[in-house]
Amino acid sequence: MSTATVSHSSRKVSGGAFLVEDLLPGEIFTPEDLSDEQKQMAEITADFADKHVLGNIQEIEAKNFDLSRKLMRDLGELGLLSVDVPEAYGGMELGHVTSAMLTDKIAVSGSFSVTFSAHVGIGMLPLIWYGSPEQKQKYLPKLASGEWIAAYALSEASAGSDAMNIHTRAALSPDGKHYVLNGEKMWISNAGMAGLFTIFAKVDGEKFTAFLVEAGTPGLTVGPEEHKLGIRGSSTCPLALVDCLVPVENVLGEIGKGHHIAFNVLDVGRYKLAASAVGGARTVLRDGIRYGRDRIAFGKPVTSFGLIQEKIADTAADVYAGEAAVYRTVGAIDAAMPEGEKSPQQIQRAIEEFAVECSILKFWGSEMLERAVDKMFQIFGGYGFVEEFPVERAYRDSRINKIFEGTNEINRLITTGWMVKRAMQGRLALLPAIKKVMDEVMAGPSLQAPPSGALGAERSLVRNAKKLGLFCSGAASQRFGTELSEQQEVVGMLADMLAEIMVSESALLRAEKSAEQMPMGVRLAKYFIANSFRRMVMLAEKLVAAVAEGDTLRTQMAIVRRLAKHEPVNTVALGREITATMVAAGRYTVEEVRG
Amino acid sequence: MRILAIIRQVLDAEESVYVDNRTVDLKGRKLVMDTMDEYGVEEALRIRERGAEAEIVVVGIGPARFEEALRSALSMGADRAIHVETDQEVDPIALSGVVAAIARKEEAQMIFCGGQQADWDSQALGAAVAEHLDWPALTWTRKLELKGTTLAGQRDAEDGVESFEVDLPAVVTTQQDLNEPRYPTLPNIMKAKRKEIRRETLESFGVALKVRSHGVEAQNRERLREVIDGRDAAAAASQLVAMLREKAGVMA
Amino acid sequence: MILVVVAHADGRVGRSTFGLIAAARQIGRSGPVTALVLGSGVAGVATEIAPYVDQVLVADREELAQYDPQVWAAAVAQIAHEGEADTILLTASRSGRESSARVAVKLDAALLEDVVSVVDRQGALVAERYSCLARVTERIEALSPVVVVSVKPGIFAAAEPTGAEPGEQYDVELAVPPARVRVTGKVRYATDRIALADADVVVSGGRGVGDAAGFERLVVGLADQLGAAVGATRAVVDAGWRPYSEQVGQTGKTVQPKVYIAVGISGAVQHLSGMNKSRLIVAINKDSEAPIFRVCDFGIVGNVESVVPAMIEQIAAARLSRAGS
Repeated sequence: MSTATVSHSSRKVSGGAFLVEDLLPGEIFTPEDLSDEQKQMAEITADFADKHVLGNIQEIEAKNFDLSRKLMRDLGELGLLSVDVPEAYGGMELGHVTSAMLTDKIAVSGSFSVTFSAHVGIGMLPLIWYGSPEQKQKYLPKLASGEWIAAYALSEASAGSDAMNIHTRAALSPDGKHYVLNGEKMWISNAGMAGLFTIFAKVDGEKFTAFLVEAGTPGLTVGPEEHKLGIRGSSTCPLALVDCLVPVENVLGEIGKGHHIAFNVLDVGRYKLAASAVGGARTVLRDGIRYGRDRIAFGKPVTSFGLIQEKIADTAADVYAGEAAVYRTVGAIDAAMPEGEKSPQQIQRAIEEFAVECSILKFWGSEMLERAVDKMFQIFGGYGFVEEFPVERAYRDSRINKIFEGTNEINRLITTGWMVKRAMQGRLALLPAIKKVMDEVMAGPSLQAPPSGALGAERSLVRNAKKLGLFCSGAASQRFGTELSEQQEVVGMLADMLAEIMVSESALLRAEKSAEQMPMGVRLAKYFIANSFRRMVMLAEKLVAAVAEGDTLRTQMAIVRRLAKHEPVNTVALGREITATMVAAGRYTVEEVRG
Repeated sequence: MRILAIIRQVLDAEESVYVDNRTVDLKGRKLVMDTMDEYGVEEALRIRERGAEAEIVVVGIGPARFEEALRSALSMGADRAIHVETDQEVDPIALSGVVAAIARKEEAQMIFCGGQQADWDSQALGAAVAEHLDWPALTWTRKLELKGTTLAGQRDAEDGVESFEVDLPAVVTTQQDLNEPRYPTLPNIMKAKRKEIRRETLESFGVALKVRSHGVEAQNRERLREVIDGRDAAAAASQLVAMLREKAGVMA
Repeated sequence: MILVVVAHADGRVGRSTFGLIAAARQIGRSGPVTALVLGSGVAGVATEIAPYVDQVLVADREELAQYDPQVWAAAVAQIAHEGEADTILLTASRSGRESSARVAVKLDAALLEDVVSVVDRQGALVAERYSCLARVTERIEALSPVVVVSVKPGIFAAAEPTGAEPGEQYDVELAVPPARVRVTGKVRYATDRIALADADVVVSGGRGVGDAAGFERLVVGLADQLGAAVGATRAVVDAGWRPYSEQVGQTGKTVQPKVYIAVGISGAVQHLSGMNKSRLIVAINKDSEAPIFRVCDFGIVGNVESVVPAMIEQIAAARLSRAGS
């Protein structure tokens, strides 16, 4: 089946191309392109999440892992843990779109989302991609059914973001039958309920390697549960490895090639984190709308007040754009995957291609969720601060997303660094694009009519956002050259600009693709792009001020202003319109709902 | 044996009702298989799983959108579907004639349908179908067991719980207590894609409507919604007791 | 002829039947208002209803001792047909709704189900009913000359006697089909409390009361003080704390008392559809987010364990002091 269920005319787009090319709406995958079967799966997952995850949330939060395990088995029975598993091993192999979609729909609770994602994502994927047929035969059925929970053990006390710096060691036993693992792991999600761990260690102190380690293996001790600010219903423990004997047949992939596994899995972990952030934001938006609709202040529902409406519109537009960016990326990964049996190298290539999109999704998505939670929190007022209210939990739960799967700082550095590297390798036409923008701005203002259509103005805004991004990239590299990576603040600003461009363009293309059937999408995209462009201009000004001075600064500012020129959209009026629909629906919707 | 399960697609109970131009506006709202009917689909599947040899045919009479609900039933495990497509609002008595005609043609032995439709709030369909076919109907069942061609079980009567036995054929109406409907599994969703949905037109049944609707009005009964903090229980209670006496004449 | 099917239990006419007679009188169709009494040993019932109607048809037969919708519907249809009744009224209880659907099919008639108003407009019966889980009022019109109407209990005020001579009684002949459903056992709900449908005040409890003992202490305790009927949510009935006969909601009873007091009830739509027509709704719940607070007139966000006992105490004290003065 694989990607056969994905029906879209996606031309093979390369990673990072969003900055240097203009795509047509037909060239990206959008949530509206989901097949009827995928929509049905989405609905079942969402229903399960509402009834069985939210329905048991107190138990889950109280670390009743028997219940969490049972819910995982229930999901396994429905086939929801087998989406990435190859058909040869009893799975469905439905592709990254379906997989991201399920991660999105299950995300009503931070805790359970982590349990779920740590299992089907970083937990199972190393085995699926790099496992030998014997390893897959042995472990995949148990993991796909939920009988066993999987965990991924990379981090250590002194090796979080700098993962290559792990101290855990592996040495071949004298009889050559086992590797002897010694070391300590920290912050291991699912550790307290896992049956199988993917543990990273350095063979002979240097060869970065992954091992499959069963729970109960002598020498493997799962430490006590951490007491966490959020995602309290998920399991997070340290692991101690003291002469832990792992059979040689449990080496995953090749000795010394463990970093491929670690990083590819992290890329997937990143888009999945964004998918669950989008799901989480959609959930908290629903909570906020429903509470606000019923909460009376000054004789009116609080959703009738402008400052509350603005928060709802902001969040709805964020969710819309977030969906667009996530589904676009996973659609592109699926399109890049070869049909049929895939070698680890092929999978690796297809995913690596979109590493920059995955990193952008990670930091943008986690910060979007944080904004959403914070804004909805305001609707709850004082009640939001009290434990019985869902927004209190969401607030605590959202924080970790900026930290794990690579901190947002690391992901910002990766984003800009990856683009630069790609350009250097000649795999991304960044330099010609920068040059073209430079030539254009030097030539002075050109009077170009904006493209026609409902989103013509937005198309030209996104185009200008790209020009601003390219111009700023040019300005920064002109100033710092190869030393750019030392200027983390500037690198961060560039990453933020890339994120605004990627997400805005995704929203634009999505809305254009369904403009006729879905006027609500047009409104949401307009709203998002208008505000995104305002942020873009601020970033450009901040960046230029950091890289230039004197006359250069004045010239560059003039260019920024010229590129920033546009007729602004009345986002206040638009926001009210958006909110009216959301309140009528009682949740986030892209449909026209009246009420 | 052939079992029919009659289903409808209705507004999800969580969705709010908006009335425009004297109709309930369904645009953009979440629509689902009527949960009362879903218990019937589930029970038919369970009867088969307990050993009865049965083909399960799910039947929907309504607009094109009903197909989603029919697909859900097929994904749950029903074998095939019949969709009598119409945009016309057909009252339950007229509808029952169509169901009975299908039952005759399909030589059905059992017909399941929900005890009450969530759109019409009607309880008539099951009994009316039974009357057309001159069959008994077991309404509001809470437990069912098929032994050969004898159906035994329990049902909610007005004044208690009744145990019953009946020889097939029979109509059975279902409700919440009967079972816990399953979710379709992913493999079954993919399989359902290939199952047959036979489309028929309402006209071919020659239905005469018995009731015409003149539209609906929302019940906008504004409630006072005076909600007070009850942390001081005695004070809150006395405020409530006083209110009951003054506004409702209770204990006057 | 307007045929009113008399509901009765334990030899007494059911309260809802007097409402049916009121509906029959104001429907605006000519012909005698005729009561139909079906059952075994129902002479007393016929005599009791006679002063309220123009005539009484009695089918007193052993085969009718037990209620069977298929059998009763056959009897009603036969009598309606022979008596050329154009309007047949039944109580919209569950069993009434079941047999009315069968009668409609037998007579090839329209069914106006569970109506809250019904009137003849130039020969056509037009009615109003609640639909969409009782969230809208629908206006419907019968398209056939003969119409079966089931009337929602508790809507029409009970009819007074006609004041004329009691309606004359006629025995009717019937060809009753055999019952197909074999009732092999029955567990009856026993209650000496005022019936839910008849009560002015209903106190209902949800899972928020904790357990069966909490229900008894809080909900029944408060109902006792107020002389109220007791209601329960689906969850409470499912948990086995209370009998199904007390269940209010989509799959239980529909009530519209003057006051409905919801104790520890969150307010799922399915429950609301059974009580949202109450004149005054009071809610006590610790969860301020509970949907019940959106549809209540007066609400207390607080612990039912402390608020309800305080109410019971205050009501009891007030009564004592009144009795004393």
